[in-house]
Amino acid sequence: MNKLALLLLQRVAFAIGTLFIVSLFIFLGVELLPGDAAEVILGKTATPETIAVFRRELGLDIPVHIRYIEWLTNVFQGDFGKSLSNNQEVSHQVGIRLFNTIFLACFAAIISMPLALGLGILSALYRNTLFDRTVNVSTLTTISFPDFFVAYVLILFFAIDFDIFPSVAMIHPNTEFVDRLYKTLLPAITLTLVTVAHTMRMTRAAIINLLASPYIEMARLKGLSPARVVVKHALPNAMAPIINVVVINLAYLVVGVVVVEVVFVYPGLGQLLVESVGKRDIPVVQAAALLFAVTYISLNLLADILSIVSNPLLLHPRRSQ
Amino acid sequence: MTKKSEHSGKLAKHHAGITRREFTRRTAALGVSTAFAGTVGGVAGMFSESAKASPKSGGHLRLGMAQGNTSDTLDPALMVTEATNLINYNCKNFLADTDHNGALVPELAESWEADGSPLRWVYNLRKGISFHDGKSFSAEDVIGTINYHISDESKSALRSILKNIKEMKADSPHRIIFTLAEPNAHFPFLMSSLPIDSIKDGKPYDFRNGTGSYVLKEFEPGIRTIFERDPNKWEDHVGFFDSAESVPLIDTASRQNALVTGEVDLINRPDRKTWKRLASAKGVVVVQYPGRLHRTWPMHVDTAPYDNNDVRLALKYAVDRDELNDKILSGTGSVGNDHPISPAYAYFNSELPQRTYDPDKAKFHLKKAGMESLTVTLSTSEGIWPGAVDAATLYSESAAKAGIDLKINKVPNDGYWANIWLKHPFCASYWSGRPTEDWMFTSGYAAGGSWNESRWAHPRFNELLKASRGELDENKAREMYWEMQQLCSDEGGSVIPLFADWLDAHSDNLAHGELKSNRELDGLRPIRRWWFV
Repeated sequence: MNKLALLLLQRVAFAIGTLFIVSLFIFLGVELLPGDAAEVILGKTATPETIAVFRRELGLDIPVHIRYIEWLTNVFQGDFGKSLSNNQEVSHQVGIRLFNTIFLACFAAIISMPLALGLGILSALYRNTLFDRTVNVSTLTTISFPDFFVAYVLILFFAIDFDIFPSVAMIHPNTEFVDRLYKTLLPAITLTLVTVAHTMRMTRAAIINLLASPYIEMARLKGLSPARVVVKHALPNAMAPIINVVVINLAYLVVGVVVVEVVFVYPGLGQLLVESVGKRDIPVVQAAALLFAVTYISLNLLADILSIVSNPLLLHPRRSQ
Repeated sequence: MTKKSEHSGKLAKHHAGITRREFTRRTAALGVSTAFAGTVGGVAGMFSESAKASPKSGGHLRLGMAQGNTSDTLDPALMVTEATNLINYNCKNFLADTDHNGALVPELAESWEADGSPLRWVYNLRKGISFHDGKSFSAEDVIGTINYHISDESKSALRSILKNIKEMKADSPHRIIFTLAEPNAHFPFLMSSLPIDSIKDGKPYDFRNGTGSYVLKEFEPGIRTIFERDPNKWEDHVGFFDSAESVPLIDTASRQNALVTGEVDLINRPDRKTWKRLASAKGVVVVQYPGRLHRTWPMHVDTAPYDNNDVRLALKYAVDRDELNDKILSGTGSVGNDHPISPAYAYFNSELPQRTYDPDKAKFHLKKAGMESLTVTLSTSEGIWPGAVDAATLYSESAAKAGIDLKINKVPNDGYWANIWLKHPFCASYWSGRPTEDWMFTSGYAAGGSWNESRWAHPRFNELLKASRGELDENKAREMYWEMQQLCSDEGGSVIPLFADWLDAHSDNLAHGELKSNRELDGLRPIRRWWFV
């Protein structure tokens, strides 16, 4: 357990350093983009006078490094500031979006991860049969299509041809839970289809890899059923790689779904980030980017911890050299 | 679903024997824009059956808009997107509005008149009107709103145009006298673009507050806006829906899907390339009506080679406008004549010959400029208007036949208005039009204006522009505006190939009156003006 605590501490320290670097890079990156918030927001209606007024109002006339340091000190005090474009509290704006994004990610993960694991185990069990081939070909097909295409195909069938589900997932803070599930089912299925192959293939490969090992041979010789051999004997040892791929997919579901959000008009964090970069709204971009970074870092940390916990060799390392 | 009126039936028949392009040309020559003929092919035009039905109250309108962003704000000085203007146009009032013909209709002002000359304007305000929060409307609100837009701290797009007001005096709570720095016969039209806010201590105190028929119930930028009919509304002839909501549906396919599947009742900007297919979907009506929106290709007239008017004329003759209207707008527009005034304006010059594609004339003007061939670079970007890059490609091909090598410089949409527009000597741009000829010319063509995209400074034109502002005599004003259009067309710095009609789509259980052409979505007032059948 000691090792685990040490790892945790180490990782958290690294995470804080990483977040700092991320925030610096994003700040400078947005700064390097042509135009600033004042120019972009006023767009075609800008005049030199109105831009000057707006810049002064937003504090964009202050040098970059001072603005960054100011932002950083405020963040340390828990204040993410106000959006440059509409003067709303960043935490309020990001909060709503973050909840939506996590809701959709969880919903998709609840469908896709058990499905992927189940299919992986089954196809390992019945490897090289028609079932195995069908599962492989169909999951590889859905992952090979771009996600917006999968989304449009689903809309065509389930929203337009058979009017079962809505074509857009317009939700808001007051949408009731059941309604929310109904409205977000198509995006969740889209995400399922584009993530299932990865986890399923990894599960299958990891298990098949182990099936050649002597202890599995032993289990078979004992006369255990193939299902028991796979689930009880092979799977626990295949956990580490599977956990890694599951966690990477979870991270993808949080940070990589902006295209699906746009197609289904789902008010998620990805869309907010893209819009805010377009408007050069640095406080919002920073907050969203930091959240994404935190997601990645903490999920990776979780993956490491789970790999250790699931592996007795790592959990109880031998005392000797 | 198709709705045809008798009017459209006749045009459709007329259409049968001739080619599309010929049809476009003929109708243009007749002074009928092709937009009126838009009923051909299953679009309800301006005079649909629904216009005759009497309005019915009730229901909840769901509107899907192509605009709307997390960054939207209610600050009237920053109302630069149609998503937030929708709030202005339905929750607030103007001193006067324009009707479907572009004529002024009293709103918060009961009447107005020029006091002797167009230098002084007297406004009588309506009495007994209150804002949603109960504050009663008076001259204070009008003066405070204008001050907010013209102050040195203002970011408002109206700032430059309202600066002409030298003095505002209220001699009673419901009477204001405006004194202008320079005479302006069109001053009342300026007032039709300024939503009136509630003012306390000289400043607007709540941007949500208005006198309009709808109350802003919820505003979640980039997610949704909810409107509720004001139970105490003072306008009898508008406000039929009990409530309404608008959601941004930026992706065109998603927006159209939402309409087809009944998630929303009304959308704007359906895809121009596939609008006929959308119009044939069950329960969907596409409406098309001529507006003032136009595409421009401004050239800096102070930069070689565009400083030579023959070069500019060669470039104007080298564009195939009919082809652009066919291929870029799929016929949902009309050809432009290198000036920004469309037939929707009162003083449209209907006798100015339409410039057509003529490679020989283009060559002739090149030769006159002392050139055998010409190489120019046009900067454009996909995002500024749909088909902006395709249009440039077509232009390049038609120009090649006139000995002009038109190179396309495709740039990112991001930052286009800050870094390309007004800076590159030849680039793509657009204007959504203005309520009056004067305002349009002043914004984009007057010498020294901030948005004079071609840097055009024509002495005679500017003289006429100034003189016309003081002209209350309609016939004299017409003469001046006609000459200005001709000057702009023959000597101006912009190639103006296209006017794009407004295109909206709605479910067939919605009805509306005659459509206002000043902005899309019935002048952005569908919530006030439409109803369920």
